[in-house]
Amino acid sequence: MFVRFTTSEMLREEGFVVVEAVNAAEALALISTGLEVDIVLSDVRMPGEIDGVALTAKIKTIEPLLPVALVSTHLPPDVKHEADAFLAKPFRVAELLELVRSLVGTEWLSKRSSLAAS
Amino acid sequence: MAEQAEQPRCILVVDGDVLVRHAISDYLRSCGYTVIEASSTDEAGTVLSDDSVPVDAVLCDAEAPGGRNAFQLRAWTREHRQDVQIALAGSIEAAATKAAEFCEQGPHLTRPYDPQSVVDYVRRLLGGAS
Repeated sequence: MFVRFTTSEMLREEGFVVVEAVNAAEALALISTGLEVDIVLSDVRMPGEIDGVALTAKIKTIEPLLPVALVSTHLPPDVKHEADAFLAKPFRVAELLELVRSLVGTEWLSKRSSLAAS
Repeated sequence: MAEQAEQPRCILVVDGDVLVRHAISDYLRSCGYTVIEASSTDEAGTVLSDDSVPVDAVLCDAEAPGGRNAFQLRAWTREHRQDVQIALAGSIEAAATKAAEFCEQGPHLTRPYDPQSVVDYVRRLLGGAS
């Protein structure tokens, strides 16, 4: 939870609004309320029955165009996932910010528009 | 020497319901607090056991899940973290009211909006989730 807190605070200090979820069930509950979420950052290993890879698959079913980035110390190369990006832990603040900005920035929005149109 | 900006004070919000926890935490952040979110008394205990985490107050749902109940967490906090004020709330309304009280003595010395708005917001989220 300290990692969740520090990561969230890093992003808040950069002006992002961050909603925290303890596990995949909470993340899905928040998304299902209709909260406007621009990106989901998820650990691969989390408490609960659903891991980050399965959470990504569920999110892509509900919100196919919502970008998801997985964060983990290790993601075996043979693990297939639908996430839009992967960030290895430990990461630097600059790397996290670059990743988030790339997935909510104009380039992504343009890609998202063409995906929605197709 | 340049004067250092005062650090926002820190509140630990403990609630097993993510929608309530999110709304209350958001409200307190609007008042300038640093908020640490815990989904159970176990997570809260982890935070409170670490003296390096500068928690000033705890706002805990009276029915928060965890190995010890909210009343046991309060007793433990009073014994081991006498510098930390702890408040229990038995309903969303009580939590919002307590958060508003924190806001009146908080870093920004003002409530960002009426606590009833927090309750209404939670109800809207709950409606959206169903």
